[in-house]
Amino acid sequence: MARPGFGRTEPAAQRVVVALDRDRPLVEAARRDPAQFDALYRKYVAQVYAYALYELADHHAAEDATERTFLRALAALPRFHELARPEDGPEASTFRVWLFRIAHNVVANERRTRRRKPAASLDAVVGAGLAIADGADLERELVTRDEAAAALRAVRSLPDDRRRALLLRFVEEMSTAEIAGVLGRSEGAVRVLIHRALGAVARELGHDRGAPR
Amino acid sequence: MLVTDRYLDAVLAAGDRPAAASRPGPEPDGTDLPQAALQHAGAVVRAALVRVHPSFRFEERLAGRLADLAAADADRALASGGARRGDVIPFPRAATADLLDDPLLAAVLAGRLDPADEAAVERAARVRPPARPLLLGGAITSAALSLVGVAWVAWRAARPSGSTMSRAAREAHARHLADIAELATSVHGGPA
Repeated sequence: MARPGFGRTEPAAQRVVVALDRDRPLVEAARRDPAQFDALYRKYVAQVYAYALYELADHHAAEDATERTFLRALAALPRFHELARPEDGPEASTFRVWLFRIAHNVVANERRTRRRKPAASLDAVVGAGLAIADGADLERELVTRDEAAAALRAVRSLPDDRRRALLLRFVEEMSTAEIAGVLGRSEGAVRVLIHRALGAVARELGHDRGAPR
Repeated sequence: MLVTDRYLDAVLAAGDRPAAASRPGPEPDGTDLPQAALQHAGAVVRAALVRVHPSFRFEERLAGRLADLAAADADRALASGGARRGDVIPFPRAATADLLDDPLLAAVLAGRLDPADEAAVERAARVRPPARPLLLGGAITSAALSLVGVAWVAWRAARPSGSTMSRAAREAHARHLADIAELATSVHGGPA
């Protein structure tokens, strides 16, 4: 996924014709009339909120982060450039990558502030996640509640970059290319982050000695 | 590296399908976990990390704030050049006043900050907003009432300025005092 640009003019040789970004009509409508930003907001508010909640483990902090993310995105929209490439495929959205880069920065800033002033416990989000998880979903995936709790504990204790890569993959269902765009890493680096994160979860589940169950 | 990529793609793709349907693949160097364990971990994580939705109340409140910001932006564009002679330029909306309390949002609106640039946002977040000056008795102090400010006002009051305007003001004040003294003398009877 090409990185979304901001206020820069690319050299003509590097400029790419953008025909693939699935959010392009919505972005163009919002550029013409900022009130039309509402459609983009409704489309992505739950995704941004979920990411912020898993990262910050506090409903109020997640709401604040979501609010800051969308206000900044609306304020910066006139200077956002779509830079999708044909190989990114028809599902590519550089707008979503750009939006999540803003969310990532808001959340990282909030986490730095919280490190100075520790507040809510991460246990809150583990509890919240399990409370919301539908028992039928767990059953369909052949997953027990104990396993889900162990997995959440493992996710909670992952280093920041591995945890974020895992959240973007499994909560937001982003492609490796999109995650690379959000985190500012190469696709290879993102694959390694996710692989190591899954390894940590597998060890927490006690499946590092053989096939599961 | 290519083998590693193919292997990881297979593991991640397995998370999108039921675990039983996944195919075994080559393992990258240095990985001591069976692929089935990673695939199962992916399935557990997918089931445990549910998508959480914000409350309806929050969603509608934020939608309102975004609409306010969009309207304020349109007003600003009108006031800063889009207005023709005779157009009514609205006052800034009170509803958006608190939005601009966020200095980073104000910087983004002004085009001085890219909110997607991690390093720039981190730098901007570290900068504290300047303390508001306090005007007190003619002395401006940067933080609050200070002893230095009080001393400066006292020193300045005891040291008449030599400027033309100050001299004229002092002469007028002296004449005014003399007039009052003369009037008092004529009313109450002064020394003959």
